[in-house]
Amino acid sequence: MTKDEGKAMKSGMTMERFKELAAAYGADVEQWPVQYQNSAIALAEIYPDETMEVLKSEVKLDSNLATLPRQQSGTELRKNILRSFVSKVPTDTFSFTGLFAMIFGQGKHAMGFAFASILLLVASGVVGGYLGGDIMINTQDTAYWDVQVFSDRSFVLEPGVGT
Amino acid sequence: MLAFGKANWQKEDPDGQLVRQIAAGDSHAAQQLVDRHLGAMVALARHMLNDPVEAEDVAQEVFLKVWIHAAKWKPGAAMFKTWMHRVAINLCYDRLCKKREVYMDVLPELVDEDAIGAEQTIVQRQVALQVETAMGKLAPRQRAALTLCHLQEMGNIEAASIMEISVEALESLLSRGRRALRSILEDQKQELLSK
Repeated sequence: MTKDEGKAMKSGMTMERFKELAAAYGADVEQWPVQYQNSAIALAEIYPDETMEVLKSEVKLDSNLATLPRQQSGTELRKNILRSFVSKVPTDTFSFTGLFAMIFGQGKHAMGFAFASILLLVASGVVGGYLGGDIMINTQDTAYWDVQVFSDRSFVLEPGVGT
Repeated sequence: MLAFGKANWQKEDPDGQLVRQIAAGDSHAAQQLVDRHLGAMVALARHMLNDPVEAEDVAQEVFLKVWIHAAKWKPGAAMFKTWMHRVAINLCYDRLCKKREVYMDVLPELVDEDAIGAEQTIVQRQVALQVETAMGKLAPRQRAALTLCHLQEMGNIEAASIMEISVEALESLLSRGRRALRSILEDQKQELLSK
């Protein structure tokens, strides 16, 4: 084994694997999977002519591929897609976030939540007043802290079993 | 457990938070997601189908699926972007299967590649058109592999995940795809020169 072959073995890359990688990923070693980059460079330092020859054979195709556009989109398409969002907002799962996002529009969630909280408080006050319920805590038996609700639509919460 | 999952998702998936907001009906989040991925989706479909109109249809279908499925999205297994690409690729495969004939554009004439300035831009466009035509002749899976790795600049693991194949299989598709593309381009050149 020559000195160069010894070094090449240490780099963990063979010329055959180098060719395979160039054939798959092209001439730019930086575009190769990260785990192969250092060993490929190490091999190129040992065999500069051979590795350069391999890479040169891929350069033309890379430059051909580089002429293709990476990003393409039109304004009209964007509008249509966003229009489809409005009609396809999921309705099977209810969420307050979604509701308020729809009511208050974009970028105003904080204000929407604040207003919604006030609305909820007012609404619960009105409903509570209509039901006429009183919530009383039985302080005589503090071991259970029974909560009893009395009204004409009253119900009683039994003491918690095992508490 | 759930809280950990969510935190992990938000940390790792750059689209995670947007998807949650979209599921909640936030149109601002929908705009952001469209701005982030629409260009790549159209380009991917364009390279796969070699048809700009169909490419836009595919991009629209992808986002329609996003709106519908955002609420059901479970983070963890794959990035949302990966899922979107997978949906796009599968929609392209479906369309390619339905196509009985592939319509080819008339090839442009080869011009001097050493041209400079404005001419260079024209040359570049013509080369791009030739490459696009050649890409259209590749097997769909080779085309998908080349598009994801060379044009969308994805890592091999992510691209393999989108195509639901192993990294080794992806590498093989890339090699065969590049070899075939080189050969098709060479044939095109010979054909044009012989006219």
